[in-house]
Amino acid sequence: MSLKNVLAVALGIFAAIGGFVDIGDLVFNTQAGAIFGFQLLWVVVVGVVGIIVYSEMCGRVSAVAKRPVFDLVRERAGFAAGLGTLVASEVVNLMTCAAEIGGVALCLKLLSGLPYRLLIPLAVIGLAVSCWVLPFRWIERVFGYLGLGLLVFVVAAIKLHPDWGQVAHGFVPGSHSGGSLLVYLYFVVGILGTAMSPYEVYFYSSGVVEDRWSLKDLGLNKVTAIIGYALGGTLSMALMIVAALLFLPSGISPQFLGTPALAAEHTVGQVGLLLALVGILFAVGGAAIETSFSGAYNLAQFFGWKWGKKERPAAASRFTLSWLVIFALASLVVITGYDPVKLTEYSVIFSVVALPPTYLPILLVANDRTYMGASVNGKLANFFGVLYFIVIVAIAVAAIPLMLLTHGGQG
Amino acid sequence: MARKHGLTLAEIGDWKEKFLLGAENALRSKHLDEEALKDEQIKRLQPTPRGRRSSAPSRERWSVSVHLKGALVLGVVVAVFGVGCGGAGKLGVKALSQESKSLQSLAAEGALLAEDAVFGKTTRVYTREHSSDLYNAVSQAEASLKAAKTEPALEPKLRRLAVLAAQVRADLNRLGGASKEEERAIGRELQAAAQESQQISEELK
Repeated sequence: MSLKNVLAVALGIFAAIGGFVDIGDLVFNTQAGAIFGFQLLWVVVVGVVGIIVYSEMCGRVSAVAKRPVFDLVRERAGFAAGLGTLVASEVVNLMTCAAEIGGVALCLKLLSGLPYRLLIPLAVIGLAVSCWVLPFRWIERVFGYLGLGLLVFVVAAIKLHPDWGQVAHGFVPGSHSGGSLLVYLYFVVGILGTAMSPYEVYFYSSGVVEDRWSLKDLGLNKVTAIIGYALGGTLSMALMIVAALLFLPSGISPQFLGTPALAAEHTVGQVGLLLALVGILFAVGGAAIETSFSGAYNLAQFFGWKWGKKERPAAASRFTLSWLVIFALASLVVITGYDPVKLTEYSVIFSVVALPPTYLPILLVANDRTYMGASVNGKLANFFGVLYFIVIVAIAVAAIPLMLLTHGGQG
Repeated sequence: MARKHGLTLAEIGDWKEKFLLGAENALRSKHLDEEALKDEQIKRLQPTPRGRRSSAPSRERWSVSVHLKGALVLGVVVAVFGVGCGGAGKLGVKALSQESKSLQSLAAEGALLAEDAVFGKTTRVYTREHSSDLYNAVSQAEASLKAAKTEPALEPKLRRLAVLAAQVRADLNRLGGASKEEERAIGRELQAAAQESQQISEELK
């Protein structure tokens, strides 16, 4: 693989670090590990394969049809249904963006000791300036590669010497212990929801257009989706393993963003703590950018505005204004004092409800020869596509009842 | 709509009142028990100084269906966003066990942080900030435990938990600016508090 291609994989790493290991992932995976030990590791694998299947599909659609997901959602679903999907996805994007901004401010607080309320506007200004000044590829690289500080959790997981036989057992779904069946199912839905968030595919497919991928980049698309999300999945599993080994025996139920960093600190020391906090800062910051951009992409693509970071802000003024407004609204939400961790839990569960209308048009278009020509879905892609769509519909139906019945996973 | 389902407006009005009262109570940080709710309702129904009932006449212009829709929306909002809200009403065995588990978690996390501080694994800023987050959470738990009521048989456990919460809060308050020796002592105290909370929660099973 050439250096150019290695850098190109940054899109996948960025999507994976920011999308897969965002605040939702940090919260749900550590909580799941602290309650159920290794028993939910299989869900991470299911989520990783699902997001790889659909990201590859929507990357291929965007590279071949030269049109991103939301453009196709409106065309395939029609104006009314498309508008419904747009509203749902914008609400989820805003909630997620608010949670991520709160996460950035919390992380900065743990690093600097400055007041949280002061750090919220500073975090938003920092993110907005990065988005304004940096080209798309550099946003990917800076946030993607600095987010790799999260790899300290893989080191921590290994250093804690887990019983690998028991870890392997966690990859097989089966009976559970440690919490009730409903709480177990709530975490299954939450982990799948955070793995397959709609904003990830919106961002990924728009990123493919931003990066000007074409037919010749289909191989790169596949590699990027597989490497990026597999890496994200590895980090998620490491978080769950660390929580299972360190928090479960002490009865610690993680409810702060700083708690996962405590695991890195305990295992690796001060360097581990700093790597974890920097990794979380850039992963969560990257996710904040992804959600605000996803919101702006969706609006621009739905209403047919000029869009993209490749355009000058003045040339794509409505698109630029959209992501700035999303940042501003999200910061207003967190500045009210609502706990970002709690907000994350809600945004993940609500995003699960928005999954079917997001993924169905991708599946339909990827099967349409008029758009895709020879690059139409093969049998394997269709098998997994349909299988995952059934899973998505099932968890979308179960998400809110489970949240209510388990009091947000508290039992 | 009432006629269609063979109901009177008064019946629907009564349901609505009960629903709104319940929703209003759910939004309180400290839930009222049934008796307190009844007292509040009586107070509300008593004449105001002008000799008029407190319900404004303009509200009567609203149709019943609007009220019901409003109540439904309010109910959904309360149900969804009230999911994680804890209250300080009458605690049963399950709720008390939940409180003790939560206290155990906070104390154990504080103990882990203190241990890392002793061994120089952490930064001064992180210790101060994270212990402050834990302190805030324990303070809330302590306040709700102190305000809570429970069955007579569970009273001693509730009191013990409230005392433990106060100890944990005080330890976490000191942790941020403690010397090495103090950190060691705080770690031990927090560990002991975590174990005692765990014991209480096991006794409640």
